[in-house]
Amino acid sequence: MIQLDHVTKVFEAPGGERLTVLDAVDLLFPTGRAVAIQGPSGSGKSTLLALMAGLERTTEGRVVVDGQDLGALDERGRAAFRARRLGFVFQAFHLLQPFSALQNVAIAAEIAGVDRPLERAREVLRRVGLEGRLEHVPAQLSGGECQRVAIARAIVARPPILLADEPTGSLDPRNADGVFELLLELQRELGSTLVLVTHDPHLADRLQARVVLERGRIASTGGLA
Amino acid sequence: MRAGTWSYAALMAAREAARQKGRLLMVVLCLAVGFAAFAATYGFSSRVLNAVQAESRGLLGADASVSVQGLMPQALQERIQSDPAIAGLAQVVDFPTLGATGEGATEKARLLEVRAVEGAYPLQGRVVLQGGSTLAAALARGVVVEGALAQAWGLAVAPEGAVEAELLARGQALRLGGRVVPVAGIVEQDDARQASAFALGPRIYLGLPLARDLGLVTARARLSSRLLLNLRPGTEGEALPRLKALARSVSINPEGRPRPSGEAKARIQSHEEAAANPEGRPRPSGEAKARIQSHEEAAAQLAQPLRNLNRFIRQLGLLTLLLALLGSWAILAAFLDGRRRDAAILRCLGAPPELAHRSFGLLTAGLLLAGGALGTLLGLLAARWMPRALAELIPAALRGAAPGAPPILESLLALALLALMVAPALARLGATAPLALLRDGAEPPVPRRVALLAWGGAAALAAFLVLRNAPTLGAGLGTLIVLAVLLGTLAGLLRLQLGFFRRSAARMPLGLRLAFGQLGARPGVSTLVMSVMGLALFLLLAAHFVKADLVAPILQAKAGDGRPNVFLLDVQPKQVAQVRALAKRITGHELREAPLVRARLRAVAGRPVEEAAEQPKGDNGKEPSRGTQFRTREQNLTWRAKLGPAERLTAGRYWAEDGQPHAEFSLEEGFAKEIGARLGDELRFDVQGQEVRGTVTSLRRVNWQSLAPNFFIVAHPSLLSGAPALTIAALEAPDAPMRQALQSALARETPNVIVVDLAEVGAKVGRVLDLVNLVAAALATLMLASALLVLSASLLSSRLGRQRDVALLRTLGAGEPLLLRSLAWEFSLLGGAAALTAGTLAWIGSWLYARKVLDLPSEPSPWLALQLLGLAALLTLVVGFLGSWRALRAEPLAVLRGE
Ligand SMILES: Nc1ncnc2c1ncn2[C@@H]1O[C@H](COP(=O)(O)OP(=O)(O)O)[C@@H](O)[C@H]1O
Ligand SMILES: [Mg+2]
Repeated sequence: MIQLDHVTKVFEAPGGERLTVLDAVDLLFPTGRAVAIQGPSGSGKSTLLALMAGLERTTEGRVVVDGQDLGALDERGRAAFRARRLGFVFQAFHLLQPFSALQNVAIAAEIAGVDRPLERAREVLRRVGLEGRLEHVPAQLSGGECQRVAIARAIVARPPILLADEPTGSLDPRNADGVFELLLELQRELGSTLVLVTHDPHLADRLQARVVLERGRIASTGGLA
Repeated sequence: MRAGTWSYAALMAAREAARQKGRLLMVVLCLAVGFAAFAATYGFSSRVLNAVQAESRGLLGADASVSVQGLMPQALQERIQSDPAIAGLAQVVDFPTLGATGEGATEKARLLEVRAVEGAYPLQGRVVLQGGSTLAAALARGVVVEGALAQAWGLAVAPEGAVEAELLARGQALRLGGRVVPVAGIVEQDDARQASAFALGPRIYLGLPLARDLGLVTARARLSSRLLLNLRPGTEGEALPRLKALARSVSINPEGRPRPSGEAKARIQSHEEAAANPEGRPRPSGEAKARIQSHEEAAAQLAQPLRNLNRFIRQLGLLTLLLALLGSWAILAAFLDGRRRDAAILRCLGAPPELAHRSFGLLTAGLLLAGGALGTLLGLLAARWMPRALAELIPAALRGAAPGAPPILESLLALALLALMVAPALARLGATAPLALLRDGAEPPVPRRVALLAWGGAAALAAFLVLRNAPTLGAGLGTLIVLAVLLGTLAGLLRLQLGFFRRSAARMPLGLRLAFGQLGARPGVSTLVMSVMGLALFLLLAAHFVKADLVAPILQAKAGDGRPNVFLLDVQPKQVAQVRALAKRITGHELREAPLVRARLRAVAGRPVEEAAEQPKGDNGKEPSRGTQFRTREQNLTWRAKLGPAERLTAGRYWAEDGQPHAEFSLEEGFAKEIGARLGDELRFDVQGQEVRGTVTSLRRVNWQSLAPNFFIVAHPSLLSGAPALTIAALEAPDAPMRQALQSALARETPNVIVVDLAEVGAKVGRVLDLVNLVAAALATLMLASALLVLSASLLSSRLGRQRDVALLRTLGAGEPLLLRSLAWEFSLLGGAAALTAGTLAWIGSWLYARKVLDLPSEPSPWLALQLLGLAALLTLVVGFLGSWRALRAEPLAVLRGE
């Protein structure tokens, strides 16, 4: 269960002006639920995900994950939290450029402290359909393949929480569908909580719940109770 | 393995290294070049200096020596011989003389350095003869010659009992002092032989009795005598001070008071008597100053010129190292900045915050150590080879010496310097919020404190290294200032270029605009590349200009331009007419003569001249100042009624030719400054015991390049007319056979006259300078190479960015020609600006140096400089193109996808 209590995030622009990106947001994501986050560009979706991942600190309010207040953890504690309990999928894939697909996944497994990381990495890469691409480096993979590697990397430690920020935003419709299906399947297999940012209403429709953000506030929610 | 541990960081570093081999190898290579240059020069110099210390006994040929100018006073010799600390003794008399061999058409003659020895010479070190005979046995039969002379003249050892009349023609004897002396040995190895570049001519050994017999050992100025001493073990501490006191006690003028003039003529007589009186007697006045020198002191004296040469070479080595550090920094910093994105990703995946610092810190440390170690190793290997290449500059005994210790402290400091420079890039790796970085690759700022500490520390360390290795504090500061000016100018120039670009961008062709865009996108790297190129070019050019200024006048002293090229020294009064006639007969030219009177300066404007420093100062002692050196040395005076053709007055008036006596001196202006004399000052000289006083009434500037006999001190003729004078003469002998004939004739008729053949001296000096230049040029080339390495490294590290730009341009429809044009512009701007700045600064610098320091009318030739600069610009262009090749060739789509 991920609980956001009156979460406010203010960025200070270089000029000194304050930009309130999230304004007193209250949300509760039940465990095992797949939730879509929607909203126009710049409405604060990515910031929300970053706060839930402990990559940013709230300006005000708390983010509590399974009873643990992320704000109470130090840098190292939040890193450990990400490593063991979180999988993150980005729109721009963000793979380690010099390393092969297998190494990318294996390194994540090592950081999470997974037993026999290399074997586990092979296993999840097979699961996402990339057994023939293990030694390719990102520059040698297509966009869809890159995102599959990123998904394999996200689930390699079987995290209870999956965060995905427009995972299909850089892909053509066919690849987008495939990646989306894969994410959903894996979420079901692992029983993880999935929070997925998307612009695509058709994709959002297929998840169990949705939150719509507008200028840092919640415009509407559905299916969260 | 836990992600938070050091071992995991090491594993990540190893993976990184395996993945980025090419780029990291570049860092190691760049570092290795710098460290190799440094270790080679440093190892070479410390090796030679160590060897001088270690081999000091062999170099001196004894534990200690007592030396006097002229003949060894009998009294001194007797008192030293009877000292209880003496375990062994030998006497050595060194002097130049003309020698010849062959007969008729095959006759050859030249100036030789004679070492006449008596006793158990050498007391230390070895003189090995070909065929295994001992020196003493050979000297009992005749003369022993240096191997090089034997080879040049085709000399061979005369067989026992050969007929003397045939020896000369067969090259088995030398004509010395008008007699034929059989060759009794050829030297194979001689520990006491100094570097041949500093010698007047080849060395020959004679027994002292034979040398006296030949009439060669006379009380001449260019003769020096030494007693070589071996001391009983353990007595050195107390014996040396006692012997020194003894040496001082005989340095007093035996008469103890100035003698009336008119006795001076008699002095010359007595000099000639002295030739007949082989026991010798103390020379009058202060000239008979005996000096005792331990082997350590002798080594220190020899080490001084070597040390200066070494420091110069070392300084160049250090600059090469600093350049390489800059280059390595450029690659490393770009590499680390390029890994920032991946470090951020790792943070998002939950890697502990210190992982990136640790793994990249370890990687950097590994690279630094690998580069440093590899370079040092290569450098030490090169240092083994250098003494052989520089054989002419290094005494024989030192060539096989053990290598010096590697420059551990310096190398570690250099590594620390680089580590400091890289620190900000390392700090940036983990400094930013990972998401912000991933969002748009924003440049996270380096914390001010870190940047200040790192760069301040690096600058301080670099300054410390330069100062520590500089010959003098002044030279070190000068180097730093030149570096700062150069870097400042280059950075400013780039800024100007970019500013100009901003103002007139719209009117520029697209290719040029793109080029400026590339330069401006990485102003730091662009400045760096320009600076490093500029520095390397500057040093190359400065070395070239100085060489052209220094060596050209000597090498150009060819015959036929009206300038003399043969000098005759020590012509005695009764020989003058004979030499004059002989020279005229052989060369067809008149002698240009000048009388020469030796004297010591006693007072300047009433201020007494300080006692000459007793000992040359050792390692840490201070050298006497230049002024002191100029005041206390033996002075050469001449008298002259009119100004010479190569002189002009700069102050005062030259004396009138009125037949009246005038107590006046004319000084060369630079010399006057050195001894602290001004117009109107009274000078007091001791001319062989007789006091001569006069007033400085004029200052002169001398064109030394005219090569006519010229003097710092000219006296009115009436002042010195009674003084014992020798004649020096200069003459033109246009071709080599003529000079050879002249030397042969002089060797036969006036063997005491010293002949200096300028062509030979010029060739020798030229060879030495060529060697020094070779080293300087090799280092400067290394620098240029490291500059090009920096360039290609910076291209390599910016390849991804460049690839993206090229790919974008291509997708926008830019064609090959446009891309090529923009690259050509970019590297021309880079190389051209560096070359132009460096060239201008080098030209100004060496012009100032030649004009102000060397006082030469300098015209650094722009031609070779232009060629060099053109070459550098071309190289930049080529390396630039090669470095950008992959960026140009890359498939646009693959590049953009890999983003
Ligand atoms: N680190 C930051 N500093 C300043 N402003 C930021 C930062 N991160 C995000 N923002 C601003 O916050 C707003 C919301 O951004 P984001 O959460 O990325 O929106 P979304 O993902 O919904 O498009 C934007 O206006 C963005 O400019
Ligand atoms: Mg977003």
